[in-house]
Amino acid sequence: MTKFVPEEEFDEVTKEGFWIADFMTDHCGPCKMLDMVLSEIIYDNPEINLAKCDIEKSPKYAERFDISGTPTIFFMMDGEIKSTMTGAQDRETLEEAISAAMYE
Amino acid sequence: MNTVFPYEGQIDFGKYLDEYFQREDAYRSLPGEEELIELARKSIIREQLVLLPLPEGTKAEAGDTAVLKTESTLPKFNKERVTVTLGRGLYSRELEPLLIGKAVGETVQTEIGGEPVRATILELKRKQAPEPTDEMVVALEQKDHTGNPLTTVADYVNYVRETKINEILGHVNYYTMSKIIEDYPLESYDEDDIRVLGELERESFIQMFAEKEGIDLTKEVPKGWEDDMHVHSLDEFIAMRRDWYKMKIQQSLIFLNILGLKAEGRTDPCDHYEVMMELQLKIFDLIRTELERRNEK
Repeated sequence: MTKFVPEEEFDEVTKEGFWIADFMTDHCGPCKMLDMVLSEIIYDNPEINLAKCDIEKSPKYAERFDISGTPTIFFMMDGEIKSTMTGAQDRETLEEAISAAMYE
Repeated sequence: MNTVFPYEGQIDFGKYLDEYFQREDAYRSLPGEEELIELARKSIIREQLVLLPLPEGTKAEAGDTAVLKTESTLPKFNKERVTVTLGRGLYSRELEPLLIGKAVGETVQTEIGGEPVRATILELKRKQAPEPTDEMVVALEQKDHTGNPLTTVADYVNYVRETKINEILGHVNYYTMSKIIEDYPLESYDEDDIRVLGELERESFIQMFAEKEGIDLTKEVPKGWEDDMHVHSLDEFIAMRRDWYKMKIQQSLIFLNILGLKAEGRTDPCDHYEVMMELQLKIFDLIRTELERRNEK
């Protein structure tokens, strides 16, 4: 599932299952590159959920999670942040992080 | 531009490209049209994916989603319920292939790291994905690289093409330029060049912030600048960027050298702010041509 999530709904949306929270903006080039890779991963692994968190539309995100650059991603299991990454990543790197956060 | 580049005619860009293409993570080709269309399809329909339970007795295929009960002394493989997409190896490269071809209720056994592991399939689901439509693209509310909304599947494929090509060219550019910048250091920079780049950036920022943020940078700075960079005026910001301007001067001289151009008139980055971007795009064209040439071989 992919969902645009405002800050006030973040906890409720991500409380169950595995979620990748993608903190992004509309006009950030690396965010667009990362989104493309995440699209493929989500399509191939539909049990993984993606929360798109636009930090300009929901500025509280930056303050709450101390996000200083985009894209920043959180890997979350049942509401708990397991690990984070900043910047565009290739598929292999993302899948390694997902595997560790989901299953270890 | 007055900064002297003491390595005129010495940069062999081909050598740096060869080094790049020997990297394990190098992009060696541009994506084909079919690959781009498939990528666009996956991206457009990702919000429409549905997982449907498979009828009893159906054998699992790669890409199916399985809920497993696993048993082992290894904590990772000792779970009452764990959801796994079969085939990509995100859970286990050893276990997943054994489950393909099995149905709900069947059990497989193997050893992982010398420890026995048992897995029983509790549920099997397969994804249903509709064909992408223009309506789905509109619903994504996605914008292209110039900020225009994407409204058709064809728009989306173009957007994916541009994004992927930029990613690949950016990757090659980053690794080659990082090396060249290291190998061709500049010991001195002309102070006028640094000053002019600061002035050009000042003008550009004033215009951009007035248009996009409604902020007059000559009177105030965005709150983020104060909080994150402890910068309280545009002058302070420009002064803080001194090392950035030096890097841009070095990079521009390297670009000009590779392209065989002189920093004169319309090609002088210290006269025209947009020239740096134009030089970068010319380097991208060079890399693209090289990728296409290597593909044809």
